[in-house]
Amino acid sequence: MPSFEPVPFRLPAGLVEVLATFGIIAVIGAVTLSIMGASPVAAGLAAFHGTLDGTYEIAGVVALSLPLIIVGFGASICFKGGYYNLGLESQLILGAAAGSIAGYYAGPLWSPFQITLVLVCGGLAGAVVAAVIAWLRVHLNVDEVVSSLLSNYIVILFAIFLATYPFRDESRFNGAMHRILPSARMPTMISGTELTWGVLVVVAVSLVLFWIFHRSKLGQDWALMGRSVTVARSAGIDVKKFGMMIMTSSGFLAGLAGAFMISATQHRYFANLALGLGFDGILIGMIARYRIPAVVFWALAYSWMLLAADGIEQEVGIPSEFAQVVIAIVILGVAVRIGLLQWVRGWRQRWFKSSGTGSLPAMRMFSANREGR
Amino acid sequence: MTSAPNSTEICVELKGITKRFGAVVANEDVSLDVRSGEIHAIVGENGAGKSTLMSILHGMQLPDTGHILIDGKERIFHSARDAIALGIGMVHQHFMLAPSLTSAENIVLGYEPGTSLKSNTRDATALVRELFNRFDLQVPPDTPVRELAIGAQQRVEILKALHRGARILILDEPTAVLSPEEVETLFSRLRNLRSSGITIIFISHKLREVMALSDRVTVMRRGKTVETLTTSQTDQNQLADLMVGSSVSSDGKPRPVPASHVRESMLRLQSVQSPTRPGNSGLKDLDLDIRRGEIVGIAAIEGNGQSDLMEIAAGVASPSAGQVFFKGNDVTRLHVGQRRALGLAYVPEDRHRDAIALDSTAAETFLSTRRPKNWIDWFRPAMSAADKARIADLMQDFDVRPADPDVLCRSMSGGNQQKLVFARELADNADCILLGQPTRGIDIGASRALFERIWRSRDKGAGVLFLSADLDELFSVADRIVVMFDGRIVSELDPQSAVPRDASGFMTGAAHAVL
Repeated sequence: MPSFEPVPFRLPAGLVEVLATFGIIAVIGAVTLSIMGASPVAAGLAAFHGTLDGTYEIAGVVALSLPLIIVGFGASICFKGGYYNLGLESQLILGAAAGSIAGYYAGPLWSPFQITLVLVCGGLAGAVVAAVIAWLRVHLNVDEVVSSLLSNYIVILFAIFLATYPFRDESRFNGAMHRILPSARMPTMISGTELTWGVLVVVAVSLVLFWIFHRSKLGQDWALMGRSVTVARSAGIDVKKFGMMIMTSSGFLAGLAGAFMISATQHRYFANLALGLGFDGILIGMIARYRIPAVVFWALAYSWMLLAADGIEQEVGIPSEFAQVVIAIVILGVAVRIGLLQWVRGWRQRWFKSSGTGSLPAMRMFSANREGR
Repeated sequence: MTSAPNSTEICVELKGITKRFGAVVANEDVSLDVRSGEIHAIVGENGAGKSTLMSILHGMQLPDTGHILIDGKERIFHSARDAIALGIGMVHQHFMLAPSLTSAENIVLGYEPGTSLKSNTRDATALVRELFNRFDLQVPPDTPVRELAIGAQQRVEILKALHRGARILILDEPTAVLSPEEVETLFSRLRNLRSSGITIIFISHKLREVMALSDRVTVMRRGKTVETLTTSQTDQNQLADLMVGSSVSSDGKPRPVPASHVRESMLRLQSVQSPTRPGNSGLKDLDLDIRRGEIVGIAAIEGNGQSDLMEIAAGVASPSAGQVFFKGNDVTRLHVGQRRALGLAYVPEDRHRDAIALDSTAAETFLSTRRPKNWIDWFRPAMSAADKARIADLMQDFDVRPADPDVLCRSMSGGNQQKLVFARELADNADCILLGQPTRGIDIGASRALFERIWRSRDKGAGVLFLSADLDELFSVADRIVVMFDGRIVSELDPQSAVPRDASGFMTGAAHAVL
């Protein structure tokens, strides 16, 4: 007997994801605010004014997202390759310290050259740390999750030592390095905002990584490493060399993100700079499921949520800590969305007919009997 | 050969079962009746719908349409528990056992005697012992399952189903993991179970076993039941014809080739060693020479070093001592990618561990063995439109279904995954082909097609190393059989004059003729 499978209309998966996410944010935010006794409408307006109403606000969101995007890439490419570099936090901070040193002690040089020098020095600093962890993993089989996580303490304290003793700016009380030379600073793109022409660097990095990870042979072998090391080995991939490369390049990107912050906005490294940013990057990489365009999107969304919380705090008086609770719930929801969807589907399959339109078990029995005759 | 079932009462009846997965029809209008107390074989190629049908009967899938009648009463199973309650037990191909628990604990797991808060170990052991005696199935009750041999683990699975009150036992490809001796033991145990009144449904694609064991046999092809026959009134050829839907002869002995000693060496292993590990003898100073234009078959029982031999020959593992020569050049230090570039093809033994990543698409799997020659190649597109068209053609050519390069490996059946591996490895006309258990889990039609290709490559001058657990297959395909025991080559046989039985003595170490 012929069967006709109805072809349901489907929105592009990415769009569904985006709409669903913002729907969830709106609902959870509104409920939380109502419980706090504030008007969700007023808060929504405040969030809009604080982040999207005008060039200044939008530039703020973008500027905040740029280092997050880079470190998010670092997390994504490493997880995609099956390695878990949880030392991105400290690699970013050491990158910031190295960039700060290069921006003050080298030069003054021709500005584009010195900016590049700052970024590359930062990247290399992160790469060196990651390479050590990678070497331990690849050659001595030391679990990189543990070693990279614990390396954070050592490396961050080392960066603070650098700022407190050898490279300290004597004119400042606490541990802080010298302000980098003007030639090492990225030029401002929109005056009065923190948005610099460094955005072009991020665009370039994004395009290169998109090509590598979504088009090229390198990206395909890289993904195979993450799917199965044994298959990769039998396919002829040098898994030790690849393992080193995966970890080291993620460390490079983390260091690059740190140096980017120095050159674009902070202009000097000091103790407690950028604490937590590396872990935010890991979060973004995971939510984006290691896809390059999705990292850009989620880093922007994350920055937007942070600034919207500030806006709500200023205008409605809800402490931004509460907004962070909302953010945490949203992120948790997004992170488990795949599992949730599967769970819902499994539940449906159990109770409804698995193909065609949903019908109750009793109806299925009825239709089965009818077709049997 | 087998006694007729003592009753013609029908205990399982499936009527008009249809099951679709999206556009794929796994079962279409399938009907089947199984009599009480018989051994009923279900045969069919990969993807013929045997496993889907059995998972429907065991309550793991709901059919889209159709009826399941148990003892004449219509039933609907929402889960395996419903099926178990009606006495339908299943022994899966991949055992579902907790390795660290003892066999007694595994047998009662989920159905323990005692209250829901406290299970009673003493009662459990007593219960298990009673089961042992009733069905004459012995396993050490207090040994952790991970320390048992595969055959004993399978007995634990069977006992588990019997403990749950199974009177209808479904065995999914039970012999795929067993050595020839263990198969014999299993068969005599199954015959015993039949005489104690247990109905057995036996899924297989090994016709010799079906002929030896079953009372009746149902043939499935492309999701439909083709015919149900009484085993004593049919033969292997008829079953094979029904399975593939066209006439294939089962004796495809290749034409003899000239003696190999005049030919140049293709792949040579010299004094190769690898370490002994638990459950694996490693290699002990092994020499092997595969010459141009010959197929060397390796006969050995699991764990006698044959896996190490394959991996060292391929360049996935390196030997702890000794050398590997490929076309006369020392390639000991080259890894598998570099050896592939020199003209080696490698079908790994463990498909899911080594050959394909389930989350890759067919095209990605196909292209994974392509190694960039210089640094710029890494940054070129991984796949061109021409590559994709070629892959689609090759998939068609090797009968991979669906022949769609974008399909995920996870959604393909095991046999089709394996055919995809063949397509990848054999597309480039390699000079030396290493085949590790290539027909494990694939059907007769696909194995025949593979052997035709292998014989053609051999005739063009390729050297082939062929590892198989199926001695019949080994003897009908290879030009020379090498028997391994305890990491050494203990005998060399000519399949023209020797028979599989000759090899089994050497494989178990019972006969000694160390060369």
